[in-house]
Amino acid sequence: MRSQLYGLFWLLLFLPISVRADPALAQVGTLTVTSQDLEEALASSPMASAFPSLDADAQAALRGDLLQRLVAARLLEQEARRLGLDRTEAYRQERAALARGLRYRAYLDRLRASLRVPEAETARIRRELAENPEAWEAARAAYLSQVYEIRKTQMLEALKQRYQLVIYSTRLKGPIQPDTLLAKGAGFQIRGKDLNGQDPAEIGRRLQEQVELQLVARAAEAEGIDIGAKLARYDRERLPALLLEQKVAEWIPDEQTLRDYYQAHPELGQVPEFRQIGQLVVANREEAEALRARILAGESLYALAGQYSIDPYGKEHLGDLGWLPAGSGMPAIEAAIAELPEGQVSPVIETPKGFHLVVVRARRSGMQKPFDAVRDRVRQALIAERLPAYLAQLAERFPIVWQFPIAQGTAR
Amino acid sequence: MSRFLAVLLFWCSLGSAAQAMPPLTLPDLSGEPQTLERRGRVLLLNFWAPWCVPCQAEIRHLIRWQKQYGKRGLQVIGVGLDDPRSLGNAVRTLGISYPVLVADPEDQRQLLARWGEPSGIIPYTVVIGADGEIKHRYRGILDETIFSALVLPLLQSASP
Repeated sequence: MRSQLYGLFWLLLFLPISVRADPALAQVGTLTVTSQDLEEALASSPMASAFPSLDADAQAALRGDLLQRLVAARLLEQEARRLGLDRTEAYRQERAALARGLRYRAYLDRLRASLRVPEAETARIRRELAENPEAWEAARAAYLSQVYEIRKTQMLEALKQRYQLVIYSTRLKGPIQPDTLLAKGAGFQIRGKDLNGQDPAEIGRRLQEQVELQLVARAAEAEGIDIGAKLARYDRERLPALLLEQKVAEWIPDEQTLRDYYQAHPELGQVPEFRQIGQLVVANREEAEALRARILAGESLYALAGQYSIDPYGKEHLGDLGWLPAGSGMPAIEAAIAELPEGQVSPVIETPKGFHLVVVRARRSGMQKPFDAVRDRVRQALIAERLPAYLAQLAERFPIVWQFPIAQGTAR
Repeated sequence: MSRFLAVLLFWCSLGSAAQAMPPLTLPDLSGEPQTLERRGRVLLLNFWAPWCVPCQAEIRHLIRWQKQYGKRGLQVIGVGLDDPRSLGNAVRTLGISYPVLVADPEDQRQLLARWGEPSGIIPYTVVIGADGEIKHRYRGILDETIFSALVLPLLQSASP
C-alpha cells in the first residue's frame, strides 16, 4: 500500500507528460477516472490560476487530492444509480428541462459559429483602426453581433412556420388559469402553469422565451445536434450531489444533532486567549539569571533582548513577538506563562532552544463562540467525519483499482 | 536557457536600433543579469505573471509561435513579474521554451510605463522589428489574428 502511494505521488508529479495519451488513473466499479478528467477538474478548481506557480510537490499533492475527490464522486454516482436516484420523476423532469436548454444553446452556438466577417469588412476594420489593433476584435465582434441578431430573427420566423406556431395573445389579458392554453405548435403546448407569474407583461415576456426555447430545442433535436456528452457530465456531477444531500439529511436529521455535535466538539468554536509577548533567549542559565536580575532591578527586557537575545527574530524586533494565541508556544513556555501576571518577568524557562525570559504585556481573553456563529463549521465537521466511512463502505460495493503503471510496477 | 539568451542578446546587439528603446537589464531565472540590446531578429517582449489567467492562455500561443517561426527570425522573450521561484515553476508547468527574465512585481507599473503601457496591465506585448524599432504595442491576449496581421509581415521581411 505504501509503495502504491509513493507510485501515486511520482505519477502525479510527472502527470502532464503522460496526459496526452489520456490513460485511466483509476477504475471505480464500472466507471473510470482518466487523466483528462483530472486535468478538467484541475482547470475548474479554485486553484487553477495559481497552479502553474506551485512547487512540483505541491502540484502533486493538489492533483492527488482532486483524484481522490473524483474517485469519491464515481463511488457516489454509482450508488445513486443503484438506488434509482436517476429514475425519479423529479430527476427526469430536471434533466428534460436541462436537455431543452442545452439543445437551445447548442443550436444558437452553431448559428453563431457559422457566421464569418467578410474579407472586405475585415480590411475596413484594419484600415480604420490601423493605430488601434486592440480594437479589431471588438469591432469584429460588434459586426458579428449585428449579423447574428438578423439571422436569429430570420431563423425564428422560419421555425414558427415549420412548427405551425399559434400564440393566443388575447388570453394574456384575462385571468390566466394553470391550464389556460397560451401557445401551441407541432408537438408542444404552453399553458399558464408553465410560466409561473401574475403580472400579464411578465407572463407575456416569459411566454416569448418559452416559445423560442421550444422551437429552437425541437429544431436542434430534429437536426440531430448531439448533447449526449453534456448530459452525461450533468449526471456525473448531479447524481453524486443528490446522494450526498440524502446522506447529509440522514446524518443530520435535525438541528439538535448539530447542537449535540458541537457540545461534543467544543474546540470547533473555541477562540484561544491571545497574549502580547516579549521574550529574551540566551544560551545558558547563568546569563539568563543575571539578565533576569537586571530586569527585576528596573532594566527593560526589550532593550536587553535587542542586545543579548540569541533568537534572531527576537533580537531584530527587540524581543517583541507580537500577539500569539495560547497553545502556540513550546510546552515549557506555555506552562510558565499560563498564570504569569501581566508585566511581570517569568522565571528562567529552559527549552531545547535555550534559556528564556518572558513577559506577557497584555492578554485578550479567549471565548467559546455561540452555536449560531459556528453552525456551518459544525455541519461541515460532522459531514467530514461521516463521509470517509460511507465512502469506504461504497468502495466495498464498487471496488477501486488504481491503474497507473508506476504504482503497479512499484507495488511489491 | 540563460546561455542561449546571452548568445541571442550578443548577436542581437550587433548594430544599433534606429529608434531609441528603453534599456532593459533584468536577471534571468538563474539570476544572471541580461541586457536586452537587440537587432537582427523580430522580438516579442511579453510581460506576464504566473497568476494571470489571460497570460497563461497567451503563453500557449507564444510557445507555438516560437517553435513554428523561430527559424524565420522570431524570438519571444518573457518578462515575468513575480519571484524567481514562482516563475520557474510556471516555466516548468506551462512548458515555456523561450527565455524568461525576472522583474520585481513592485516595479510593474514603472516598468510597463517605460515600454508604453502606463496602466501597468498585463498581458502586454511589445513587437520589436529586426531593425530594432518598436513596431507595435499590444494590450491583452495576442491571438492568431493579431499575430498574423502585426508580426508575420515582419518575419517575412526578416527571413534570410
